[in-house]
Amino acid sequence: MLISKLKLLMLIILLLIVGVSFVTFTKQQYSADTRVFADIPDSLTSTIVVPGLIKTEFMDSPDGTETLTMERQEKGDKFRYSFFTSDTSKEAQQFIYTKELTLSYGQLSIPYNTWSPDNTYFFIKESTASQNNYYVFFASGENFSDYSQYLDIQRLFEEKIQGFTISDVTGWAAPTLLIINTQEQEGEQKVSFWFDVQTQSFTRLGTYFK
Amino acid sequence: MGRKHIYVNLKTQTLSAYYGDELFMETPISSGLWGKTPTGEFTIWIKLRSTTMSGGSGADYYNLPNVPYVMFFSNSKVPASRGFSMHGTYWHNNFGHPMSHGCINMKTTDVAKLYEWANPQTDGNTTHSSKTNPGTKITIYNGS
Repeated sequence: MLISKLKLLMLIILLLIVGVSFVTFTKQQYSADTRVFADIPDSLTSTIVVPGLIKTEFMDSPDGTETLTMERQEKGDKFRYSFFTSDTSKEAQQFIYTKELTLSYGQLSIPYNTWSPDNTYFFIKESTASQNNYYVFFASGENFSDYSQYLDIQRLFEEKIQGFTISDVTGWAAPTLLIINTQEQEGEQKVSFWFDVQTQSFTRLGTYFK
Repeated sequence: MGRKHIYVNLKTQTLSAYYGDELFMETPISSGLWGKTPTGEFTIWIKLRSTTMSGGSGADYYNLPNVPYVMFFSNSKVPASRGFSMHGTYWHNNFGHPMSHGCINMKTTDVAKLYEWANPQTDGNTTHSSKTNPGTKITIYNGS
């Protein structure tokens, strides 16, 4: 009798195993036509932009104690430019400015003569298809007296001087004076100006600073 | 073993630095306007990491602080007191054309390399040449 009961129990267990296996097996059989679609239309899918490597350029001050660093990082069709100042060990960097430009618009660069001779200021160049722009910053990152983060030399020149176009900013004549070379808009005369960073004024020079 | 020698061609406005026959550097410079840079054989007598340069008068007056990587040179006819030098430049980038009051203007990034290469071997911010640490020779000429 006991053996009969055991046989019956084993049969039941076997049937259960077969039954569960059957159910499991049939659930995994998908029709080739069955698909699961994401509930997001293709037009709204976001493109993941993988930022490129950061490329670094730097320029030391004339006395060798300070460094201006520019980091350039490609992000899709744009470049992000970031500027920092520090001592030449570059351990404690002061963030100054950042800007994103599309490749088609232009690029930023550090001119050779970027640093003012007393390390108070530096200027950077923005090269575009239509014109070059020049921006002056405090190396400390502080704002100018009108609370602006930087001085836009091109904009200030257009506001204050008529008849001439900036062709180049060559460097510093003195701790607060930038040399601006210009070309007559209607004519061939070349004229140099000093731009005084402190007063934001332009002084026409008697000779052209080649 | 070759010696270090610097050549400045005033006609081409080019500086060439050699170690023996091996070229170390060749780069455009700006010498003096109106023939103000002397020609001849010179020797570097002092190197200054940076210094203030001033001179001229009236409209020609200049006062430039922190002029970088200055190498003063002289000979028996052009004494040290005349103040001729090669140095970095933060006020113009018109190299390849005469620009200065007589000195050899160089792009700061170029002169930084030349400064470390040229003798006397750099020792601090001010390095005098001496018998044991002599200055590099410089030949300045009107080339072809």
